Amino acid sequence: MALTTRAAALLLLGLVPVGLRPEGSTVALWTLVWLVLVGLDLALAATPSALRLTREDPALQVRLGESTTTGVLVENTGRRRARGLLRDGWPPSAGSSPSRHPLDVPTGEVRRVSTRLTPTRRGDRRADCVTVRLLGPLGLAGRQRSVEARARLRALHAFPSRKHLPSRLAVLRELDGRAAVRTRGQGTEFDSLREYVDGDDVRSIDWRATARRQHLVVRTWQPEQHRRIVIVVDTGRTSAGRVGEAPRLDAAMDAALLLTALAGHARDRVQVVAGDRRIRTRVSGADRAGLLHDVISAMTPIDPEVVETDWGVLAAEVTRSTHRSLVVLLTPLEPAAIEEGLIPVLPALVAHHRVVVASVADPALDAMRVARDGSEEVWGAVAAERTVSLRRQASDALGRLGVDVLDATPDDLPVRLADHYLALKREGLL
Amino acid sequence: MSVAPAGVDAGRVVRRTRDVVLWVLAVVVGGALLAVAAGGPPPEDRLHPDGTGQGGTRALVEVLRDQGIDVEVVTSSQEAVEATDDGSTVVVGNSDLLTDTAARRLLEGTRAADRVVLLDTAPGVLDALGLGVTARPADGPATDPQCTLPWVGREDRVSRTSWALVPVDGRELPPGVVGCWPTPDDGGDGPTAYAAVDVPATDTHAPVTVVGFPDAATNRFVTEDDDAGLMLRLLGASPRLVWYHPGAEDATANPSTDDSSVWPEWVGPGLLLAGLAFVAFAVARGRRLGRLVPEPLPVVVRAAETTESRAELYRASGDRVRAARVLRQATGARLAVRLGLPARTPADELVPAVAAAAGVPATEVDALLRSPAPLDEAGLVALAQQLAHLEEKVRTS
Repeated sequence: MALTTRAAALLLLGLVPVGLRPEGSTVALWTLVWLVLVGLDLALAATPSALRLTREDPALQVRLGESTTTGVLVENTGRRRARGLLRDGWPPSAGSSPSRHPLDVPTGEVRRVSTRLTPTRRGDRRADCVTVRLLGPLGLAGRQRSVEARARLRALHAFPSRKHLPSRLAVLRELDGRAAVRTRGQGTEFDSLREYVDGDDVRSIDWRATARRQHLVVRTWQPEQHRRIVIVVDTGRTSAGRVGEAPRLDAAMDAALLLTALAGHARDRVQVVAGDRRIRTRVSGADRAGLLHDVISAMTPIDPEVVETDWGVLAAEVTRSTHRSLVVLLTPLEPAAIEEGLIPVLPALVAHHRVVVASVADPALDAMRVARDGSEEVWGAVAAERTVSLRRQASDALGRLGVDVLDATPDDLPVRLADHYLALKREGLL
Repeated sequence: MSVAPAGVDAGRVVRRTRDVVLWVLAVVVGGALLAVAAGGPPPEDRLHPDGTGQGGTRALVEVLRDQGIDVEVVTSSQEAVEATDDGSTVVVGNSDLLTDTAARRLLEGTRAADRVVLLDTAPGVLDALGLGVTARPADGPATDPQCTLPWVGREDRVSRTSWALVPVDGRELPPGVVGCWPTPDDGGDGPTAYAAVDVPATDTHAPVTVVGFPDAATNRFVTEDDDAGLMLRLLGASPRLVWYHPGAEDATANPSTDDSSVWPEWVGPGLLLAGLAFVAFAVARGRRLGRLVPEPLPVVVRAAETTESRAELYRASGDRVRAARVLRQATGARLAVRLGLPARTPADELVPAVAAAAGVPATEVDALLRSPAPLDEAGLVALAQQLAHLEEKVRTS
């Protein structure tokens, strides 16, 4: 049962008879009339249990920053026209609007109520109940009922760096030798033999084939393929720190996604691992279109945990395969965490694999470093310089172990990582 | 020791002293005036025996005193009762603060008095006294007394009647009660109203005279018509006059038992109904349309927070030596990288290279990168800014 503000207003209207006949009994009489009216209205309201509520699409998916709609079908199987309100219950960050819908379903008919969802955070959001409140003909009181209507909204990572993918793919095609200008790849894998044309490097003439064919034949190479790339995303406490609006983890995921897309096109085998004290997700596959989708889906529900990352667990995941791989560790350059956690496990990794550490830098640190207007700012600048120098020391320590270190702002990091990957590929270092 | 020109100093001192003295004087005199003003009765306090304003009765009281009558002013019914003995007349002046309890107490306590005069009595109090007389606002002036009382002359006229005194029940005054200056009711049905009523003594009270023309006693109108004579005869009949002017303390000490409300009748039921409506409103607004949907919230920690805390710690410790070293090392490392030198180039090699690149004398660069740490906060700020400036110069050269 639920009252409306109209019922309260009706009760207050009793001030008129009270003004005309100022007695306590007038109040009692008016309240009695009011109770009768409210009771009557309640009795004449349609029964909520006669409404059949059906969720149209129980599994929704939308990229963060975009909107989608979810529908609820309301079928009136009762004998009275159902008038009132309907609310589709979603968590706040699902961004549902409007929060309540007017409802008017004649007997035996079906109406669709659609709610627009604009999620404000990455991750899975589960719908709760759908609630209907059916009012009586006077609009004084209503009956209310909530029905479970399960649905899941998956707000995918926005993947903002996907806009850089076309330009990086063009670079990749150039490496591949498939571009119009057939520059021979610098890679190390033998591809095929073809006739010599002017301008080819004489060193690439295959003399044995030339002897067989009686004209000059050159060997061509193609860039390395089917290399193994392992992307390790650190979801520990250091990734929880916010840079701008989003945690560092989101920027790290962005970089991982761009590299996954690029390496997929280069026909490398990509494996993505995310974890802190335990492995949170593990995605691998050769199907390049499917892989990116799988990685985005797998990453979506992962939020940073406030625990110290156990690099032993993550390194064990990498060293499962003995193939030489490109190992990309996406973790912030926090000196203490690097020294205590990462450095001890690195030598074993570096011995078998090529290791790159990619870190999300905070632009706020640079802003602090250069602000030197007053006493407070200068102390901030001193602290920022100290932080920068500690980060550099950590980075140098990693460099001495033979690890490539990339430290860039959230916007730059995906591009820097992709470019580094392309550079390694060009030089055949994978 | 320097000696200032004496004339200038002396003049300034004299002026300042004079100002101070004048201010002190003004404050003292003003305060004294205020104290005097606050101590006396407010001139507009109606019917106050010491009131010199238009509504006061000081003139009448002074004349009575000149006649050799002992006038005593009291402000509570307790005092009035104590001051009353044989041969005194009690007069109740301004009855704004007279409660029914105080009035009853007065009547009971003054049985020995020659006479009790109610000079300006509101209907509520008069009803409570049970004299068989009540008051209502007067319609117009009365003409002839048409009665025989010691203090009323045959030709005495009163023109400023405030209250018309009428019998409580029926059309006639109770037996023994004498009314003066009658005014027949306009419609002819109502009782006759009187401008003054004299109630004889009973077991419970002394003779009471209720007067409906209090203005006749005031400084402003006492000289009009026959007011002065009437009042002097009425109040000067006994050698002693106790002038009871009820004050606020009196009203507090004798709380009114009158329980008739000042609010209109509909207020009570109206408030009840409004309260019920409010409860209905609260119930209507308080009922949720479905339960709340919970959601786990992410941890919100800004990445720069550790650095900001570090800044606070540095600031709190105030270690400028270390701060200067950190700033210089950072600048040195960046300059070395920019000039293509190893990051850990010693200052001896770095200074000439930087000086050449920035176009600044080597001594200046050396001072910036190697001089002792600044002694104060301003020095540290200056050093930080100069280092930034030097980097800027090298960058733009």
